[in-house]
Amino acid sequence: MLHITDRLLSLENMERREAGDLRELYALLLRAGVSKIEVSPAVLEKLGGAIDPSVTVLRLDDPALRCRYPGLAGYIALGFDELFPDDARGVAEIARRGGAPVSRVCGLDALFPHDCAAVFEELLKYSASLEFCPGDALGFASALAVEWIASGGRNVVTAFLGHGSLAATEEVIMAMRVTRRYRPGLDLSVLAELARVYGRAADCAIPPRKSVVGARIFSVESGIHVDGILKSPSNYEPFPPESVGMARAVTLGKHSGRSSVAYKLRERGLSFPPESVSLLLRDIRALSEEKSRGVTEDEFGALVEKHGGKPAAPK
Amino acid sequence: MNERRYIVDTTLRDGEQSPGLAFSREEKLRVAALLDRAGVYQIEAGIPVIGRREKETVSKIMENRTRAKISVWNRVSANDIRHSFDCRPDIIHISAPVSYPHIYQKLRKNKAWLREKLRECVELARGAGYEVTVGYEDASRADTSFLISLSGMLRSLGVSAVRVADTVGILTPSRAALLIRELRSASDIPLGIHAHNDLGLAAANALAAADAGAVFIDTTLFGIGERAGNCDMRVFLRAAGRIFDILPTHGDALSLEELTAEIVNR
Repeated sequence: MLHITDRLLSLENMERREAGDLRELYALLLRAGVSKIEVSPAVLEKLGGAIDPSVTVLRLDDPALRCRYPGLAGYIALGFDELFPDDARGVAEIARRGGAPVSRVCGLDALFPHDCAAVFEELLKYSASLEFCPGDALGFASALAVEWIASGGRNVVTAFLGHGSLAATEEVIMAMRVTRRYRPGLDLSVLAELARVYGRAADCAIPPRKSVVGARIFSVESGIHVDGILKSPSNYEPFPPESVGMARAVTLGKHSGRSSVAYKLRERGLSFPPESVSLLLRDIRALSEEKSRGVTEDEFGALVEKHGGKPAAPK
Repeated sequence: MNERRYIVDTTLRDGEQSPGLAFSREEKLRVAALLDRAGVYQIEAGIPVIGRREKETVSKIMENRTRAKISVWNRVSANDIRHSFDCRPDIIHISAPVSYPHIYQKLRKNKAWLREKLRECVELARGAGYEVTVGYEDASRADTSFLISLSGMLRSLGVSAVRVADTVGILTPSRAALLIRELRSASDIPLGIHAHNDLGLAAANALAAADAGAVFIDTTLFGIGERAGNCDMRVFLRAAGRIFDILPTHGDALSLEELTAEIVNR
């Protein structure tokens, strides 16, 4: 059984967000398949009674403070429960370390690709229930998380959108869904809502190409791809847009083909002389190249009119 | 001595397929010149069958280039390939859908048809004297034994390399490495990797594939491309530069981003 702990609400500055937004993020993360939510004491206070203690982990600077917050699912303190080994040698040191057992290993950003398997084996020998919270200094945190799970790791620590230079929760969840049918009954359409609420709470725009939750990842222009998707969406989509709360959008431009044009005409309920489709397509491509961008809906409408298109007669 | 690996940059082809993005001729020429100067091994410059302007642009890129090889992208179509001849590129790349979903649902053909059509197209391009590479489109969902049998045919036809494409971005690093190792164990045809970033793993998958023996690595500037994009050149080179003998350097990739940001990352 895989357990994903999300750290978004324990990261710096999250306590500055509105209490309502924090409560919404907390609830949405759980609905998105996160097993536990890690929070800071300040965020815990803002969340008030809107938490489930059995899935809430508290991050503390001083482990002695845990008695002030009884009844939570777990407590984590840097340097005590949580260690940052520098490399494979540092990992070996953990096994020889005396004192209280380590519950979480963090960082190991540079492990990928060479040392993963050997180091993960070493860590899991130390404790099969160890949590791994990979770092993203080289851009491979999500890959490390996925490989940790593939090596038998059952507990992984991530943060939504990869904040805090960590593995991205949504990428790990979707990678597990696509490759291992992780919690197939779970409705991941909540991910789009999660992204929207986070964007509002943090007053930031999520990059349109951001994997899994970017607003434009299901926009498609290329003629080959549109044709393939119209025949069967799985030809060019790794998962259905609806499954993550989004919708597909066919756009027109330099790479459009006849299928795209036919689709857009149908979408707008227009009848169009079949013999003029090639001319319309030629003009769409030329306009896109001339403007160095896609063709807008208005521009498409004008081109359709130019070539004799009109509203379809009612059936 | 570290092993050599080669960047195949597809910013001007797969990158430009990002919805809403279309480079002007001047922009394509500028990006191609910068990639060439930075030491990129191969620049996938475009799709000639798109039309006259695209062909003129690719021809101009060919004319201007100093070191990089210039390749053009084609479907398994004699018509596409004949359009490519007009550009006189260094390499004609033919993309062959190889998974069952793509062969049966998209092309609505069968494996025998694909095999024969691919043979015809390769022979057409090789017969005209071109270096030919073949892309295994949707290889990550394909039957590996079918890929191995295709590799045998392509080797005998003189194809210089095969590109393993994770078209829908569903590989993980260990699966990418396994696929490359399986193909390498059955054929000595040089392999490349074309990774998509749907799960946020494109650069990691490309690095794992390179570590498993893929020689050619497809990248784009800023990771642009279909859906969530392709393998980001800078992210890949930051790690690959420490493991392989590869150009451009990570520093050059950073400079490339600075110099092309207004064109590419908009």
